[in-house]
Amino acid sequence: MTQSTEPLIRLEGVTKVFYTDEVETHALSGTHLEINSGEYVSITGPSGCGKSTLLSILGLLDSPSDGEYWLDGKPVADLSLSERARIRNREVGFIFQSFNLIGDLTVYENVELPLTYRGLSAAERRKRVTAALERVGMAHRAKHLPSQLSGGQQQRVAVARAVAGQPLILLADEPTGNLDSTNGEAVMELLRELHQGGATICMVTHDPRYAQYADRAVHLFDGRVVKEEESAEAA
Amino acid sequence: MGIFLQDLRYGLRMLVKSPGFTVVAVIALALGIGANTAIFSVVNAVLLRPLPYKEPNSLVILWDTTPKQDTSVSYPNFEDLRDQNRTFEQLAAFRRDSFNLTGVGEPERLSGRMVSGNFFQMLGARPLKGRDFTAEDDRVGANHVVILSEGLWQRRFGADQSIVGKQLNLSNQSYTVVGIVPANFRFGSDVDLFVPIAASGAPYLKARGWHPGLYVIGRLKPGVTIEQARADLDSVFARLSQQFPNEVGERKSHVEALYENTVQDVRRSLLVLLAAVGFVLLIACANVANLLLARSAVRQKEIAIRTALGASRTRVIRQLLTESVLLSILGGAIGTLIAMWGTEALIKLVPSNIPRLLDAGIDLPVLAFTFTVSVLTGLFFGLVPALQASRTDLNETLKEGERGSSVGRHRVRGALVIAEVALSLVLLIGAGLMIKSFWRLQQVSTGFDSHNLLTMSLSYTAGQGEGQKIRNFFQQAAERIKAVPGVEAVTYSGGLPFLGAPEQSFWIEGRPRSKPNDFLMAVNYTVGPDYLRALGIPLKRGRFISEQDRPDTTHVIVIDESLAQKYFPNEDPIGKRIQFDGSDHPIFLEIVGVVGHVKQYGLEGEVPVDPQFYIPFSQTPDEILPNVAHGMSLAIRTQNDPLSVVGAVRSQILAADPNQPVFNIKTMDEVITQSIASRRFSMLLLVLFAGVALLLAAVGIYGVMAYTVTQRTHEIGIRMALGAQTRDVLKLIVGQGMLLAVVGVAVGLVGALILMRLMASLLFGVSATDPLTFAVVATLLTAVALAACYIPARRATKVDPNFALRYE
Ligand SMILES: Nc1ncnc2c1ncn2[C@@H]1O[C@H](COP(=O)(O)OP(=O)(O)OP(=O)(O)O)[C@@H](O)[C@H]1O
Ligand SMILES: [Mg+2]
Repeated sequence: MTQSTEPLIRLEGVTKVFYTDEVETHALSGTHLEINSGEYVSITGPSGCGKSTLLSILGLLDSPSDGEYWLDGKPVADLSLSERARIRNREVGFIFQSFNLIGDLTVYENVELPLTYRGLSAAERRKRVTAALERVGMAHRAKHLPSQLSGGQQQRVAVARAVAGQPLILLADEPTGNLDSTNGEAVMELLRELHQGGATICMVTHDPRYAQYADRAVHLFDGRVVKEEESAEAA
Repeated sequence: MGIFLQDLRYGLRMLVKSPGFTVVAVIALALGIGANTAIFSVVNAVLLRPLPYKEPNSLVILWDTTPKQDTSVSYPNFEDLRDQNRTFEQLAAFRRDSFNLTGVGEPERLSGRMVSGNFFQMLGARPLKGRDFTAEDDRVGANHVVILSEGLWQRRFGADQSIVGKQLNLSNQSYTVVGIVPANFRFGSDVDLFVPIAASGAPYLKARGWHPGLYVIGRLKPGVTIEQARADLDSVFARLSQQFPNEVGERKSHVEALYENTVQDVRRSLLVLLAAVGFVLLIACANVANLLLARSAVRQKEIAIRTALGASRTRVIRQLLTESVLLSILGGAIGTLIAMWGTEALIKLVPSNIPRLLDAGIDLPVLAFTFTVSVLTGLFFGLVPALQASRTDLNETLKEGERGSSVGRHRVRGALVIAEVALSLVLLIGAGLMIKSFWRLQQVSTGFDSHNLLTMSLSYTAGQGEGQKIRNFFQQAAERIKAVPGVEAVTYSGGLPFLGAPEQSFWIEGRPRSKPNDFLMAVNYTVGPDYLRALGIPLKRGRFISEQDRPDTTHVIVIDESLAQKYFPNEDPIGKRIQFDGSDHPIFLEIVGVVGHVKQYGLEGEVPVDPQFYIPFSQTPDEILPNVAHGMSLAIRTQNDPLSVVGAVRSQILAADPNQPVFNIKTMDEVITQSIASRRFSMLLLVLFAGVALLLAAVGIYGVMAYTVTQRTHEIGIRMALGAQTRDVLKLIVGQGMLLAVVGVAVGLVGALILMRLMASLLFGVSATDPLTFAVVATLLTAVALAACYIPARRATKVDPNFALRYE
């Protein structure tokens, strides 16, 4: 099985139903999606259409109610909790809208955190954290606490944290949602650089401008993929 | 009023809404208030409350003392002290004696106190019925009168209203009942009756060299100190010793406050318990504080919203106060129940030899004190969110939730947990050392076999010249008892280990004396022939006393190893002769054997006289035989449960002589258990306290960690999204809790190293810094802390990262 024949991510007929007191919410209904290695995919759609749900399933934070999901050619349905944690740790990099840095840890420690769950040596961790921080231009703030940084800086640290582990795919849920346009642009620029460096990215965004950065835009509506288009820029 | 009801309703709703918090806080408060009140009530009654007598602080107790040893007071000395002193308002004498009640139903052995006529009046006790003794009653040749205890009056005479004026036959003498003393009058151990001492006409009333177990209490004149009284009595004794150089010699009066004397044996252990009470109270308060602080962090936002909606600060404070008070009242109510139940339970557990305990009831001031301390803690820490809300920027709080401002409180909570753990560790180590002491004590060899050994007392009343009758009775009784199935050996003795035995001064023939009245002391067992076998004491050399030792054969004596080592270190004692002091015609006794040493005075503590010897009852001279026969014990070795033969033994004795009651029927194991009962009691209490402390500390750690998990849910979600495994999350939470616990244990170990020294005098066979106890206790506490951390940590691993991240 080589990467050229098998997509990195393959969803077939994935459904997600939430049950809350008496109400059934069909967040996803029969979603098909393939993402190839090295691709940059954006996901757009109206609020509540299931974008975040889709990303959670891709990142193994949640499981589909129905349907199949292959990650790197392997079905994830039967993985144990600990194997799922292991994949989240090594093969997925998360970037959240609200940064989700840990307030009590320094910038350095935040970036180091996923690496500590891997049992890497301290020297190896140092090397990777420093590289990641340098890449996002935050190396000089390594000793700061997140609360001492601006939103844009915090998101750059979050990006560093996501890439430090060299994951197969970066999952970003509205990474610019909490940022002003200048900072937003900077983060998008960063993602594009990462993509150019070979990273596979799947990004949820409301903003059609940012969707343009991606190779391919996937439109979700009411839990279904309604349209896929190659972006102009990529074409 | 409307607002108050609204506050109340809302407060109740808040408490019901978080049942975990409410239950834990109420338990902590209830244990703190209840357990503490119960034990403090007992401590207070025994140690802190003044004696239940009129003007107790001017009361002293005194006895005779020489540079060598303390003795009781001889009656002539008492009379001279009473008449010649200048510092006392009054002196009163008392001694124990026992009386055989006959002529009304079964014969019964009654315990009595012989007292001087002013005894009750001096202590301020009034008779329930009839009258007090008068000076007229307390004279040689006076009519015999008796005052009964309320207990005896009810038990034996069915509270007969016309008892006063009736005649009773006590030890073959007729006595007129003149009064009843109420049950709430207590002096030393309980007795059945009181008789005036001088009216007895006993020979010791005139013998200055005779110290018949008489003790003296005195009431100091106003403004007189104990030192002045000592000096005063010293000068009386100085005169007496010139007058009576032989009998008085270097004798003086030992004077001490009655209060000191009453509580001195238990003071140290009660103080330790008091400290334990304080610790538990502190732990309970720390717990409540911690819970409220944790909660206040949660409430912060609610309060900010209330304030933003226009609630005034007083309004918010009122609301919080209502809740705290509700909580305190709940805790206090349950605590009061625990206190009432606990005090009662403690009193039942209390061994009879702890003085004045029966006065203890739930102590209202104590209850009020613990209640106040706990409630104030609750109020103070309950108000923290209100105080903080008014200080911090409203807007910030609304926006940030708990972030930022919680750092200080975090630290306070950590410190409280550390303190709780440290305090519990100290208590646990104290309890551990007490347990180890108790265990060590039980390993102590008594020198005889206490299993399957029945003991009882017998007081044979006979007159002068009845020596042969006395010997016959004991010999016959022993033969009859021996025939009872299940009995292996029987002996009789004037004195048994743990139950008391007389001390005798003696001299070894041929040894030079520095002074004419120089003497040595040994415990004297006047015994029947089968004594050694009945008690299971090993024979080391020679032979023991046998039936062949009769009044007309050589007078023999058997010494113990201790006497042999002390006075015959490098020679064979067999064949040497011993001479008893004090009589004009000294008797010589030949040493025929050496036996093992036994513990006479208990498993621990001071041993007033170490050497011991045994002389045959059969060779006791007729003149002193009635006196010896008056205080005899029987020891019966049985095949099985000693208590199974009691009925048969008793009827055999009555068959030998229907007028001889036996009393104090106990197995030797029971006697030994009772001898360490007060140690067991303080151990039990301390263990109880340590248990409560451990529970509270566990609850404290659990509470803080459970709260931490709630507070860190979001962070845990992030970590799990980043790939943290279950064990990583466990490590995170357990690590945080254990850091506090380990610091607490370290602080506690240091504290214990310092504080345990104060307990050294309560310990037996274990050092105050026993490394094993310290290690075991530290491990135990760490394990409990680990468990207390593990439960919330376990819950943390169940956090759904998707959910946690979505609902920040
Ligand atoms: N845990 C849950 N329980 C119940 N319903 C849920 C849950 N998570 C998501 N939903 C529902 O599923 C639907 C899809 O939600 P999702 O968060 O995926 O939408 P979204 O496209 O990310 O919206 P937005 O653009 O507002 O972020 C919504 O209707 C939402 O209410
Ligand atoms: Mg979303």
